[in-house]
Amino acid sequence: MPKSLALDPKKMKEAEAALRTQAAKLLSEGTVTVFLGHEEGWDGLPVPFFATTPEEAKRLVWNPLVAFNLAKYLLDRLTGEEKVGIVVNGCGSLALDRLLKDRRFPRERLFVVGIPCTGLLDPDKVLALPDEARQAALEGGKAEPGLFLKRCGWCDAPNPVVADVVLGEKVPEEAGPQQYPRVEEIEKMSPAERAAHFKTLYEKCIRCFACRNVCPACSCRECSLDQWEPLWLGKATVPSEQLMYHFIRAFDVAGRCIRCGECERVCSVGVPLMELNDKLMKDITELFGVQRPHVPADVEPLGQWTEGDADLEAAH
Amino acid sequence: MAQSPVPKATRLVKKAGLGAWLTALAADNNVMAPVTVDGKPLFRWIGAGEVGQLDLAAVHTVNSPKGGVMPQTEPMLTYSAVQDGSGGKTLDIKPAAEDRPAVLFGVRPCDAAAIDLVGKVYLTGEFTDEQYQARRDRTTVVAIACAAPAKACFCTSFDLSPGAVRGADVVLYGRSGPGSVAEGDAYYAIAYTERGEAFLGGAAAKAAGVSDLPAGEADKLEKIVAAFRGLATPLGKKLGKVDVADKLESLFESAYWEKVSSRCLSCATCTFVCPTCYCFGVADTGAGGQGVRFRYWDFCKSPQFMLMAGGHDPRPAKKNRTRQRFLHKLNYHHNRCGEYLCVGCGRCVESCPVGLHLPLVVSDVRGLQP
Repeated sequence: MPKSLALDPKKMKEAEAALRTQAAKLLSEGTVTVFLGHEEGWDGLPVPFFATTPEEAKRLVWNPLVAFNLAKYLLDRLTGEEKVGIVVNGCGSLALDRLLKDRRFPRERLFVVGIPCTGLLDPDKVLALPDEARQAALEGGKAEPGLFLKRCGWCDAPNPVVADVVLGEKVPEEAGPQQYPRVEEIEKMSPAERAAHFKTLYEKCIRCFACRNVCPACSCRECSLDQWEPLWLGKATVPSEQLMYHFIRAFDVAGRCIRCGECERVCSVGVPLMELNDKLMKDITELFGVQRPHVPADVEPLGQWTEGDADLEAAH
Repeated sequence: MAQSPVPKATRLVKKAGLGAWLTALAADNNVMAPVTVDGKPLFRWIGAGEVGQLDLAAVHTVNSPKGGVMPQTEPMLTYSAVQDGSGGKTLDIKPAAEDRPAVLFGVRPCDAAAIDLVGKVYLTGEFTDEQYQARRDRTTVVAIACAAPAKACFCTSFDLSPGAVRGADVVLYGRSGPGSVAEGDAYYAIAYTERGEAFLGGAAAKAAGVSDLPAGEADKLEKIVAAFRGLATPLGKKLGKVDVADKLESLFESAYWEKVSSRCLSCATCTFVCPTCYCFGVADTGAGGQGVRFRYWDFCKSPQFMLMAGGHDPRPAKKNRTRQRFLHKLNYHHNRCGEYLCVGCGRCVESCPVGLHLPLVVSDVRGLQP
């Protein structure tokens, strides 16, 4: 866990004020026509919100619960010429950079407000806390490591990697090799154990596609999983199709997953979706020597071929 | 409020007897019950070996038990091409094999009501869905009254309550009454249908030690059942009775739909966890001249749901699809059947990744200018 993981609600409050001012300015000056952020939802949890007037910008929030990764909403705005404002923290900026590197949204149509991040809390866990503990966490910043989003535990990019303006001070970064403890456990299983593990892994999946729809690396114009002809993915929720779905999903984002873990967070039935994503990232590190496979780069191992590439057959 | 339902039989079952009951039931029935898997409460088909996982503590399982009467994937028929004797081929079509009888156990009153509510769509009007009818005819619904409604519960915003009977053959009421999660050591098991009466008198119930009510407890039972039915729900209190059907008549073109739908992920979470969403698609799977035709849950939030051959889509944007889902529940169904297509279970509140749910829409619609 990065040492910088320490919630500072006061600083976030300051950032929130600065964010509202900044967004209102962008909207009133006409720099952007819409600003993508969060507002307080019905039950107090932040929900994605798209401000279109300086007045609406006052509703923007920035607090320890702004878990939702906003970049994916850019795909709803592909047509048109208007400029879009968006607020991102570290992982939010990786999602944004993913779409930029995949050439799914033009950089020139974006105005990015970056806010360095010292960690976010898991909204579901915070909502389940007794009132007093919830207040202590949200206002006093007193939060056990277990209350943070899973992704904060392995985050090595707390500062926005894409931003036109940064609100707040830079957070110290500690980029070391990523750890994949769960993958290591699975790799140690015998083939029979592993087969049993995978057999039950996706049993619970209700095929709601929330994991795919929230993923910033899943940005195909038409998803193969939605095609009728050919019907790559059968409509029946039977074990073979469940595996097909999850394998296609994981392999299609291989080399492009930013390790934000949103897929797992939005899964209502608790499928551990990051297991396969992590396995593929670990493979990329081992086969291609890329230390931070979740960070978008101009040249990525699975997006190119060189003579020195690992011989996959020899490697396995 | 409808008239108080009339009990056909009243018995007592000890909590400790539930395991034996389910085990005995599993011998001749498919049994669906709430179990906790990796920390998530889920309704699942369980075998006799999984009875120990029964967990009645969670008010809400993530999914509803609707799969018990509307399986997510349900074979409808099998087909095979056979030689017809004159060198040609004909298609031999057989209906899908019938399942064993089913018991849906530990169903919450909202979910039981949902089965009845949705049943009207399948079973009344010009057409009867025979396959659905057959499944319902072999299904027993054993509900359990809610001692402590969850934060997102709002069944009382409709003509329901934590002790409601609609859709249930038998309802279990905790003997020590509502108010605490611990429901005491026993349940009153009350049958409200003939099927329920037979169920309580059956061999499996005997194995569970289901007994007659101790003498003199009838008064106490009546009070306790009334207490369950009078229990408030947290979100229901906040929301009040849902009353937007008429108002929505004039809001089809409202800019609200564009606004509220903009954050929708177009996933099926709300639809698939919802006990009253019932739309399905039909597909074939097969090879080599034989195969299966089945139906599967489909969802109106999907960009593929209304896509026509040739590419036309009558609901091309999130706005259209979101409006459809909420108007169906809050207006269209109300116009057709005289009631809302929602039972206030609160799953959409709990599960939508972006906080876009029915109580929010009801509350927003009240504030809109017609």
